[in-house]
Amino acid sequence: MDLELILNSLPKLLPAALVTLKLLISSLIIGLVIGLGFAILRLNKNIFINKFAYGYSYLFRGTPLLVQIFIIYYGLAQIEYLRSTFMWAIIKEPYWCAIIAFSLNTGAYTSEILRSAFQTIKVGVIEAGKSLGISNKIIFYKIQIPIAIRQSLPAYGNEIILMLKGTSLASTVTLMDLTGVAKYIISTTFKPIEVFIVAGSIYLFMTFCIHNLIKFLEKKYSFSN
Amino acid sequence: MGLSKFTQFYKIILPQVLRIAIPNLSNVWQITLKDTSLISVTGLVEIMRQSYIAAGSTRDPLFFYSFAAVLYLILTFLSMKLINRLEIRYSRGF
Repeated sequence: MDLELILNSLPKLLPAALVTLKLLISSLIIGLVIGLGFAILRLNKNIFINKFAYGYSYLFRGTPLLVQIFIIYYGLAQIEYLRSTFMWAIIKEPYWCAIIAFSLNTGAYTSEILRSAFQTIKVGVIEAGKSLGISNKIIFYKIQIPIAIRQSLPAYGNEIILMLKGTSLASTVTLMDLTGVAKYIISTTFKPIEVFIVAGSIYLFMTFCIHNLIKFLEKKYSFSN
Repeated sequence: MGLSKFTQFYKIILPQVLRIAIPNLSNVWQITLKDTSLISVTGLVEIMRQSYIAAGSTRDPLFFYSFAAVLYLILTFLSMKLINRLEIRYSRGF
């Protein structure tokens, strides 16, 4: 055990942890928007729209995140047409590719979480809103969405933690996130255990914070207050 | 009824436990199935590693990674079907 290496690698790994956090937060925000959109499409009565949304979530939940990142980073660059458009500026950067892949992936899971949350809302609540003469749009924004958020918080907390660990895959497309920097340090020092212990503890600390934050939110939004 | 502890467990407790546990177990199965792709990082030759090698030598990553994705989809699809049948089997009589 090389204690000095542990202490020396920490200042290098902490900025990298920020990259991981940035990846996580931006992909979660984009993923939430995508997820909400597809959850609403899933509840649509039109069978084609419904099947399209189902297909999307099936595709992204049925394949590993690693495959999705590789297809977007290595695969899309192969299409000649894309290289001539403005998209090229985005897909040649590993950072944006990782964000696209993570957002699409977490979007699929989030849509599934939100859909089940929407479906558990009792019809009576919506009917009560209608009988009070509230318009459909306001029922959706003021009644359905708050209840759905409350319902889906525990599952969404899980998803955030899974996503945090998923961001470590960004290191496979040469992105210098926490895992990427840890790998880099190991390639120069040949001491994987020490460096990964530090990296692992940083991940653990982040999950700890997220877990507590979700717990706090759950308490805040629980039915019994 | 004089059933032995062993028979009690296998014939009474286990079927009831499985009925409730199977949907969650199926989730775990799906997640683990997808996580097997991570093993390619250590150099074991499975779907992902093989397509990585193929993509590298043919310079056609789009095709090979999409093919890998399709393989994983087929695997998840088949295991889903199988688990659904198990689920039906274990929820008989409920």
